[in-house]
Amino acid sequence: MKKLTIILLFITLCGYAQIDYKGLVKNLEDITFETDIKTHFKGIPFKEEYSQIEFSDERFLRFYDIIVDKVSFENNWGGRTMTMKLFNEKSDYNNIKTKLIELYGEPEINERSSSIFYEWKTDKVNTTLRIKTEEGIFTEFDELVVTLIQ
Amino acid sequence: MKNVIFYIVLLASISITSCGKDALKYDFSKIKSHADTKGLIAKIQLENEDEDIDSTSSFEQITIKGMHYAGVPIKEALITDNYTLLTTDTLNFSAKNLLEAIEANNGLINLTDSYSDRLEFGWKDETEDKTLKINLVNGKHLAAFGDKDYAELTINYKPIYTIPLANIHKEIKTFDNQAKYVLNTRSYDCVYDIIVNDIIITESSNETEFNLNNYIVGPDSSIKIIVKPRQKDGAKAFNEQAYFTAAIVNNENEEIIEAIEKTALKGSTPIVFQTDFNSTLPYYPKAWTDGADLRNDERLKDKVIALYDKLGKAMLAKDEQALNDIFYQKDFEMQQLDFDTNFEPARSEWETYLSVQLYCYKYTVANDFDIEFNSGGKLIYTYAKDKSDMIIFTGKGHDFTLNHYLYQPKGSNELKIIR
Repeated sequence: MKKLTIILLFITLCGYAQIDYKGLVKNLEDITFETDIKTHFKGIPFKEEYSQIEFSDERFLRFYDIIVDKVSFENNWGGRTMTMKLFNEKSDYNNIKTKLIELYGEPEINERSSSIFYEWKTDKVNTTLRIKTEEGIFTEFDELVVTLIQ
Repeated sequence: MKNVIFYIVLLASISITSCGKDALKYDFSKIKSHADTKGLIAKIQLENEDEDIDSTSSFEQITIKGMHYAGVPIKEALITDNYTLLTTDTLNFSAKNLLEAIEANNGLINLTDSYSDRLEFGWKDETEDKTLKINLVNGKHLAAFGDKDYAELTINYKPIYTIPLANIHKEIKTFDNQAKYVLNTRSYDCVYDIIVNDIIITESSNETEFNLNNYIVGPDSSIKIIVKPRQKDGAKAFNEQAYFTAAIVNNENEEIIEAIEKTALKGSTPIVFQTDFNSTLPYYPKAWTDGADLRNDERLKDKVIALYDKLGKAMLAKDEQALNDIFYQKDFEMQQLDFDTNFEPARSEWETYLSVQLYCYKYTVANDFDIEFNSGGKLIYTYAKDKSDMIIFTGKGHDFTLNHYLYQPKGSNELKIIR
């Protein structure tokens, strides 16, 4: 056992100290109104301006397994707003829409000439998804906003 | 048998490690100065005599195999007198590997810039500034690197200063409860003098935030605020909407220590607000606490001139030790009261003095000035009457001025700069 420890120690000393990237990944759907944001995201760099905290390292941000470009949190009178920017992948759009329908049912839809606005409302959470379109086809994400009601 | 297996495994580990190290011979991550870089080029030159490498060149491009940064192979190194630029190859996820190698040593930070096909990071430490550009070739972003993405790492090595004044951060102690007392004011149509512990820290100001830690020497403090009409356009009385309100806040936890309620200001007589406040800190500076009462010192004016003259002479003579002795206590106490372990404030201040030494060729000291006595005569501040400031350094293209709070330690006959 001692010898095994020596080998492991030797191998460790020969390598570089690494960051536990997988351990830092956060699933944004786990955030609640009560979550202490700075504690929950400990170790991940952030920017803070007034009452808004923003995380922008996509290596650590997921929303139902979809990679999130950046997320900002802000508490206001209605609750906690979580605003996400996503990468413009059509597959991400299809997956997130499917997931939200599975969770909250069919959304209210407001379709315009170059955008579609989806809204899912429950007692505890409001979710809005805004995308840009060309002839009704997804071109890019605008934003995904989850409001956790106090 | 167990021993045999143990030694086989150990030898295998050594072999693997040694092979790797043999292939990667020239490690730029170990370089900490421009002189180190020259040393590494000389080594590369010696071990690669067939290659055309000039270790004396101020712009040398090297493409020797075996160059690496913390284990990540480097395809090309451009070494100049001002910076080193390392470029990785476009294979084997080199951009991802280099980013992670730097993060392992320097920590995670936010992107400094982001474009569709390029991402940029920047790290600063005492010895070097690093900029990493990640060029996306077949990758999409940080969570989806491509194997062909490559990186360019630019390193600017900084001069190393051994003078204690440039290394104050190494002496700073940190504590669990690092209170930072700040006075926040809100007002309309008035100006105010602020006196903390019998020290006038500002006069006729309309600023809204004042750091109080620099004027605290014990757990009990006092503050006096004299609110006066703004006297704009010849008016001598307060405007009918004039008001004043203030709070002393511990910025570490946003706790309000003392508050002055919003008060309407009327008439033309200054209004005085005065209160004691709890100024508990985990560290109290010696500051002027052992200072002599200077109110009856007949030679005080001469001492003030002598101090600024000494400063002027030290600066022009580039006497680093003398400058260190003049400024160290002030700079140390102020950085300690800010509980700031960052290397940048002391380094930046020292580089300001170096630039004055470099560019200034003469100094002028005020001979006619008013002396303001604070803290029972232990602390003085002077207001130059015949010059714009107490000392003016004249340089090519710019002037540099200084004016400080002074005290005289008991038993000494010389004044010292303290704030």
